[in-house]
Order: sequence, then structure tokens, then C-alpha cells
Amino acid sequence: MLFGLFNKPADYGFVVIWPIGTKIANIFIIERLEETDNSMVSYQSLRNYKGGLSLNKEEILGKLTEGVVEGDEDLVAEWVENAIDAGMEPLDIINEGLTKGIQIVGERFASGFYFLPDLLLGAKAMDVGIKKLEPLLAGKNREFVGRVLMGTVEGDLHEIGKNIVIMMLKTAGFEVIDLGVDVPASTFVNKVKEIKPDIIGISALLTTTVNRQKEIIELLIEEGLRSNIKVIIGGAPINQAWADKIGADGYAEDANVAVEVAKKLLGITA
Amino acid sequence: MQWLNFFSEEELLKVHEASLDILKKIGIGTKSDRLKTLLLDHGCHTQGERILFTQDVIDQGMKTAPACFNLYGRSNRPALEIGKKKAYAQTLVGAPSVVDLDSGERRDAVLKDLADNTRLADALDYINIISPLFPRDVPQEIILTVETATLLRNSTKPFSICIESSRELKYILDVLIAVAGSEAQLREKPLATLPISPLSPLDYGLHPAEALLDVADAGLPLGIEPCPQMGATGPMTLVGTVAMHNAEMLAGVIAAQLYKPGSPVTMSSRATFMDMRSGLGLWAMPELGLAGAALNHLSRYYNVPCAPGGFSGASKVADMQSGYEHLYNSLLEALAGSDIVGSAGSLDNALISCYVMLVLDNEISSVVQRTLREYEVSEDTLAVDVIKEIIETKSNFLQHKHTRKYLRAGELWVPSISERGTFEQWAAKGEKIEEKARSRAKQILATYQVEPLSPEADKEIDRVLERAKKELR
Repeated sequence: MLFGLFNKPADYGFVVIWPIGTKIANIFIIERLEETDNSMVSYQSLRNYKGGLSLNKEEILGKLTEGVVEGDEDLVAEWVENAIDAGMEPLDIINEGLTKGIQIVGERFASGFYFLPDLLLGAKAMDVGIKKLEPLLAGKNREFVGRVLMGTVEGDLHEIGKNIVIMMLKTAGFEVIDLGVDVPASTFVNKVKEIKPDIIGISALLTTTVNRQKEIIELLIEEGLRSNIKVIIGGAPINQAWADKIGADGYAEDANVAVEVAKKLLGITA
Repeated sequence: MQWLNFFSEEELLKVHEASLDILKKIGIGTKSDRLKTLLLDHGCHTQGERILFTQDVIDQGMKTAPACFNLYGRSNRPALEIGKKKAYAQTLVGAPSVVDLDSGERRDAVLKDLADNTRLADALDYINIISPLFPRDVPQEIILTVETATLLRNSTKPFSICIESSRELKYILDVLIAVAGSEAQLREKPLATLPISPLSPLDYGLHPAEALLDVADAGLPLGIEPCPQMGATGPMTLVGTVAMHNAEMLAGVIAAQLYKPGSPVTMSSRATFMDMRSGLGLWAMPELGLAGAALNHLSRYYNVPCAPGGFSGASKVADMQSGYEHLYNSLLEALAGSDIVGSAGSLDNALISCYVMLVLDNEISSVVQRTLREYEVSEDTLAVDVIKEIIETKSNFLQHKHTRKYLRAGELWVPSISERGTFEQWAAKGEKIEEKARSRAKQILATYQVEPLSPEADKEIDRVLERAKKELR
């Protein structure tokens, strides 16, 4: 009954309902999960009968999108190959299939239906597809809304929060280069010179390592790079006051906000 | 009182076996050659970058871990018996922020906050061990040395000083020795436990591994305090995270024992979980308390003292939410047998130190520790004769000597701050418990004085600080 009201992925009517009563939202989620299960069954049958079916471009793109939405990397891998076999353009496969999927994942996350694991599995499935397409992409540039360099400061090995932010940024259409953990200030700065990112994201979790964020900003200034780049900082002990104090352009208290801040800093409105 | 067993016997052994399986098949990672060599020399083997344990190594390591050790304060405070499951409350370590006592606003923690918070904790009877918050206005290079000095100058209680590396260890020890009198005296009557925090899942890195060995070398009680997050750096299932967390703590206990057999050590669980929308690390209820209780059950099985975090929750202010979160987690863990319960005075998932909350946690700790009291069941306490006498003489219990005797013996819990008077008494001021706690904190900070250090010890600490400043630049 409720399901009938909201069955199109784009109809996020339940966002309005959510705050009124969790009971309604729960019913809705159960309905949605049933839908998911059903669609999994239909994938299975499609896979089984694939040999005998001739699918058109729209149908293949639909499968790619659904594969990302369901976070099913096997399905994505299989249908990327089918798409290549069918002679489709790699950039079309990405832009009209995979990217559409990750956008739906992003919408569902924003509306509260999806959680972080759904988001990360969706991004992972998309990555699997893109890796398969990379050899065919030579000379063809993907379009990104911006380039972000990310890393955790020297002396700090924590990466979960940073990795969530990376996935969120990728989902939002950013190109992200990850320097990993325990990254010295000089490595950050050298990479900035090399790849000229729009934004640099510096993560620190330990209260004893947060000062490294300041160090990196100071080094950027010293090297005359600061004015060409936006600096976002994050990590559990970080707050806006610290960001102001060390002269960061942005601070995000969680991964959702990180994307908003990144977009705002680059003047992206969508 | 009987300890709460989180698992059935069969389940307990299953979780234990899973932890051993993890140590044997997945092992630990470390970048420390010293730790690696130690473990390999004792029979561990490598698989790629992992160090895998064998049953022999595990047995050898667990054999010498002491079931009990004492922790001391300066100026002859009674020793804390770590291993007797007394649920000593320990303040939160490392908070970069405090709630300002006047404005009620969150702001950066500074050195004065460390001094004040320590002095407040010293005055509160049911806060037993003090951990430093993280002052932002102190030179980074010598921060732990400054923290240790500030703790000693503002409290006579035992401390817990979490170290990320061995870098400042020498100076921390020198500060403690300045008060203990000598290295031998410090070893004999340790003034502090020094927890180290390896990375979850199952990684001792370079600095935590080196610090583990150096603390064992110094002969001070060690804490093994990894902090996994269910669903992020540990499995989504509670028992899965418990099995993994247990394994990573066992690895540290074993390493310390192989290096210095008989080293005092605690299994200091911090089983947090992730908010699956925002990615925030939650130190909230019920999962932290439940996993803590499960891990306490395991540590009782190993006969190794345990020190979970427990006075914690997600609430941002001292309010009803923080009250029930802290009580739930700390009481559940205490009932399952805790030696130390950490994070007292914390808010916002252990990111904020709050004076008001510390006063409230003192009250919670008081009733938690009270709950663990042994009740004597005897003819006299069962009082059948007294009941008979009262009925026969048509009297009441209020005027019986039995009542006076046990009242004086402390049969009733006496709250330090909770409101228990008549409605009219309360209405005269109409104060909420948070407001009352705030006044209490202010009053203590305005009047309470800590027994000062001897001038010699004080001067020696200054010299150590100078040395640290010079040598650690």
C-alpha cells in the first residue's frame, strides 16, 4: 500500500513522513527491502537467460545502474563486459550507466533510506566497473566537478573517516587522489605541485597530531601554493574554531557536510 | 554478589576460541622490529606482513599475567586493588575541548582546565583515577610531560596517562620518580598506569608497539587499549567485534608477558560503534556497555584485570541523556566485573571533558560501586528475631537498636548530590540536578586545596620540564 505511493526511486515521499513517525518509515523500509529482494531475483533470472536474450542499450544501462545501486560488484563487472561486447562507448557506460547509479545511491543516502555501508558498496561497485573500462578510456577524459587531494597527517594511522569522505566526494562527482595515512607535510605539498588539485583535505584523529594540519597549511604558504588551493580539515577532535585558528578554508563535522563544503568552496551549486 | 556472565559457558569458550583463531590465522601487524623479533623468538611465525601466534606462545604469555596489582596515590592514600573488580572510576583521557563552567559553551581545553579538572576529580570521593585532558596551549613536544606534572601538582590520586609513543616516556617517568623518590620506589608503588593504544583492526603499528615494550621495561602497569568501531574497524556483529577486540588485547598482554614476565597489565576495552549515517564514532549505549560486559567476562576467564571505558555517551551536554547513558554503560560493565571504568566526566563520545558531568559521574560511580558491595547474609542481618520481637511487642523498626546499628554501619546509600527531600524543600530553589552539580563544581574549585608536593619534588619536576623542553625540540 505505502509502497505503491513511492515506488519510483526518485519519489522520496517518505522524507516528509520520516520525522512524523518511525513506524511508518519502518514499514516503508521493509517494503523497500522486499522490492530489493524481488529485483535481485529478476537479476538472477536475467543472468541465467542472458545467452538467449538480446538486450538493447537502455536495458544494459539499466542493469549497470541497478548494479551500482545495489552495491553488487559482480553484477556490475558482468554487465560492463556485456556492454563492451555490445559495442557501447566506455564513456557512455560510465556516464549513463554507472554514474546514474551512484547518483541514485547519493540521493537515497541523502534522504535517509541508505546508510554508509550502502554508499560505500555502491562506490566500490562503480569502481569495479571503471577499472574494467580504464584500458578503453585512453585519451578520453572523464568529467569531474573538481580534483581533491586527501590524506591523514604524519604520525596518524587512522583512515576510516577520511575514506568515507573520499567515497562521498567520488559519489558527488569529484576526482579524488588519496595519499593514505601517516603522510608528511612535504609529501602533501609535493603532490599539490604535481597534480594541482582544487582542494586539499587533511585528516587527523589523534589529539596529538592535529597540529600537523597547521604545519601543512604553513608549508603551503611558504611554497607560495596557498592562494591556488582550498584547504578542508576534518577528524574527530577538529572543530570550526580550530579551522579558523589555523586558517583552513573549510571544516566539516561529518562526511555529508564535507561534500557540501567542497562544493561551496568551488562555487558548485548543484 | 555474583558477577553477571554475559555468555553461557559454551558461548564464552566459542568466543575465546574465535579470538585464538584470529591470533593464529590472522595475527597482528607491526612495524616495530623489536616487537617482531620478540614474538618470533618465542615461537610466533610470519605470514606475509602478519605475525601469527601459536598455542604455545599464547599459553606461555597468558601464564605469567598477574591477576592483581596495586596502584598508588602520593601521600599514603590507600592503594587501589586492580584485579578485585571494584569498578574504580577513571576520568576521560585526551579531550581537546571542555564545557566552560561559566558560559556553558564548548571551547578548547587549556592548561588551566587540566589543573582545575584534576583538582575537581581529586575532591570527588568516587572518582578514583585521573587521566589528563588535552590542553591546546602547551608546546606539543613536551605535552605529556607537562600533563604528568600538572596531574601531580593538583591531585594525590593515582593517574592513568595514555601514551601514543615512547617519545616522552623518559620524562614522564622522571616526573613520577621526582615524587615517588626513586625508580625502585616507583616500581614498587606505581603512581600511574600507562595505557597504549594499538590500531584496530589488529595492528600494533610502530609507536604503540615500542611504547608497550618500554612501559613493560619501566615496570609500570600497562594498559592495552585499542578502540575498534563496530561496522567500521571491527565487524558489524557485537560478538564479532568482541572476539576481534579480545584478540588484539590478548596480543598485547602476551607480548608484554613474553618481554617482562609478570608485568602488570589491564585489558582496557573501548568497543565503540559507528553512526551509519554520519560516520561518527559513538561511545554510546547500549552497544559499548554490552560489548564491555562481554569483554569483562572474557578477562575474568583469563584472570587479567580489565578497564573498559564506561562513563560515556553521545549526549552533548550534562543532561538526562548523558545521565542514563553513563549509568547504563558503567553499571552494566561493573556488574560484569570491571576493575576500572573509564571516561568519567565525558560528553559527546569522549570528545569533551565537562566539569558538571564529572560531578554527576561521581554520583553515578558512587551508586555503581555501592551496587558491588557484598551483603552479609547471617542470622543478624536476616533479622528474623527482630521481626518477631517487633510484631510481638507491637512496636516498629524505627526504634529498634538493630535499625540504628545497621544504619550506622552504612546499610543505606547516601547520595552526594541527588535530590531526596520534600517537594517544598526542593521547590524553595527549584534547582535541577545539572544546576546543582554546576554549583558544586564551582564551590569545590573555589575552596578545595590539594596537599602540595614537597618543595624538593616540585623543584625536581621543574628541572625535568626544562630538560624535556631542551632535549625534545
